[in-house]
Amino acid sequence: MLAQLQAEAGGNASVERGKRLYHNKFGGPKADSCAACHTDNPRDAGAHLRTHKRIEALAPAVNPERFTDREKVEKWFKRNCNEVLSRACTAQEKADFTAYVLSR
Amino acid sequence: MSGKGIWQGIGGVLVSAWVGGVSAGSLNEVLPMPESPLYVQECGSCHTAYAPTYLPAKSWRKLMQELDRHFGEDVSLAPASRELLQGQLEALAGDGPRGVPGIAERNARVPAAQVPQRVTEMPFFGFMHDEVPRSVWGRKLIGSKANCVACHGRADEGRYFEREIRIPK
Repeated sequence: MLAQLQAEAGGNASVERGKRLYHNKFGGPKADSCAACHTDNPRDAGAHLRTHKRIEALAPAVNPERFTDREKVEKWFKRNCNEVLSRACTAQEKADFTAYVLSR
Repeated sequence: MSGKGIWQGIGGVLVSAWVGGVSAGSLNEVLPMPESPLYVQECGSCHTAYAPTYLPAKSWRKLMQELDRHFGEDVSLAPASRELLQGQLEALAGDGPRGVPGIAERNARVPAAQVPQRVTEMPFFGFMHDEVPRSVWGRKLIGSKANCVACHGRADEGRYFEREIRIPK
């Protein structure tokens, strides 16, 4: 999955940039960062901000199902980038984000 | 009336007697759920996959037609998925032929002009949870009345059995 996202991003993915993206507060009206719902640690389970439904950990190290289904990955990038950044994420951001989460 | 009709009629009376006759959760039958796994996959990833019987058909219709502004979020689905789910939700809605009697009767108290959008504001929900103190709703692992699965672990399967309730500390 990362190789594919990385290729689409023009060949590189940065764990460091992904980390900044994950924790950055975009100041959006609802969820203002990825960490707002997914917690400060991608290995921990989070919760939906309003419904409080549990969100299983993002890091495949603890939740192997993550980042195995490209369609699912794209669905959540689409929905959540829109929610947090108020725009779609770029291919580079997706690759960086994935590299960071996979590194945890 | 056919034989099947009679049994359904009797079943309905029994169910409503029992749901109406208790003050705390004792929903001891599995509530009908949409057949499509998309319901739990799509809707259930952010919130409990609510049993369709908790809302009337007009509510499901409105919810499913306004997914681009769903409680402040754009949760649009592919048109085919949306149509499929809307059909299955409406077919099992509380005010339809598959509505669960004890629940539907209580929820029928909502004025006809209203199109309720929240399960948690329905009369049946209030009736079943009237003894739950405010402090419990605020617990970290509950947090919201919409978080049915916090206490009803198998709510996504339509199970709200009293004996399966586990209230997180």
